[in-house]
Amino acid sequence: MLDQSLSWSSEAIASVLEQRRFADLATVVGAPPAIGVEVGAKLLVDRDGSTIGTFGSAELDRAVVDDARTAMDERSSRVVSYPVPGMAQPDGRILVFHEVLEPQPQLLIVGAGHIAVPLAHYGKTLGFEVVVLDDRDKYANRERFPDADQVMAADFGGTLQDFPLTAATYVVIITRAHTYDEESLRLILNKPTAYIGMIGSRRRVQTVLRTLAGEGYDRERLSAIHAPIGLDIGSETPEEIALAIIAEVVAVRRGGTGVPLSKQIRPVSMETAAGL
Amino acid sequence: MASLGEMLEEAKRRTESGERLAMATIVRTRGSTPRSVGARMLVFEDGLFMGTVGGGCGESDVLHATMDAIENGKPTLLLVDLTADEAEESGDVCGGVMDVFIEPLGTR
Repeated sequence: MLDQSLSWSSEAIASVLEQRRFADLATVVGAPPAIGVEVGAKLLVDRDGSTIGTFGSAELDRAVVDDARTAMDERSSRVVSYPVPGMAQPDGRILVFHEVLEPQPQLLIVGAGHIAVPLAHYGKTLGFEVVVLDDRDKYANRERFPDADQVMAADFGGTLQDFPLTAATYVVIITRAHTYDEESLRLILNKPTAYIGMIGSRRRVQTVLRTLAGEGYDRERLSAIHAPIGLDIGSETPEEIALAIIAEVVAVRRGGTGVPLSKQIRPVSMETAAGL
Repeated sequence: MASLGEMLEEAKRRTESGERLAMATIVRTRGSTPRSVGARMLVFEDGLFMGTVGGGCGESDVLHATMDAIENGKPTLLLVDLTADEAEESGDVCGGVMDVFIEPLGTR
């Protein structure tokens, strides 16, 4: 089937969804006749700026890519009207529907111990697809994780080797021993992920990172790992630790700093705010 | 509720076996509509469909227009008016207006 133009049946769109890429699928929903731009034509704009397809006009493509950036930043789909390119007295406008395809984020919890239970639950509440992995079926089972999307009682290494990690996957490594943490990290470090966090004391974390650095893993990627995991909220119980972890995950997802709002620099003085 | 991914898989399967179908997507809304921008239906030659653009409110108009698009192979932007005057005839009371883009899929 001739597929010069991007259509719903193209591989590109299916692959964007599968790989959980954040993209804007722009479609011409209205256009004056005979201007070289077809109603139904599509342009797929990835969050990273790359594109697939074309409307048949470089000028229009560029304008749409600019607006796609805004639509994705604002996370809102919209119809935008464009002038007909190359016409001095344009008669009519081109209407383009920017459909923001925001992927559902995935929370991959490696290690199904005490912290994993509330963490899985919080993840679901916050809209994540939740996957739990542990090699002990006494821990990785439906009874303990009733609302998780997937619970896998399987070998860490073998499973992570084949697991389809994506740019919208947030990996939380909370296994029972640093050897499993290491094994897991080895398998995910060189793949696309949105976040990797690892639990442990500073000593445990250092041991793991030093070992991996020694094995030649890229130092930048190693230093991007959030370890020790979570925001500092003084957590003590498993639920509190899970909360600190999920808060950090959301902060990374939404671009938040994790700093209290009350401590941030404000343009207005406290007196003005208090109405004095 | 069928996800976009599921609809695309179904569309692919059907177009590969030579069927004609069409997709209807809400692209703009003003006032109150039962579904929001991005809601869509995949409609098949026999009139059966996956997904929804609003049930009682305007969906049958969309369905008819989509069946037409399957026949004539022409994409179209349909304005669906759900404000009071229109609603009296069909019994829908939704108050708003929505633009639905209808595009045929498969061989023309």
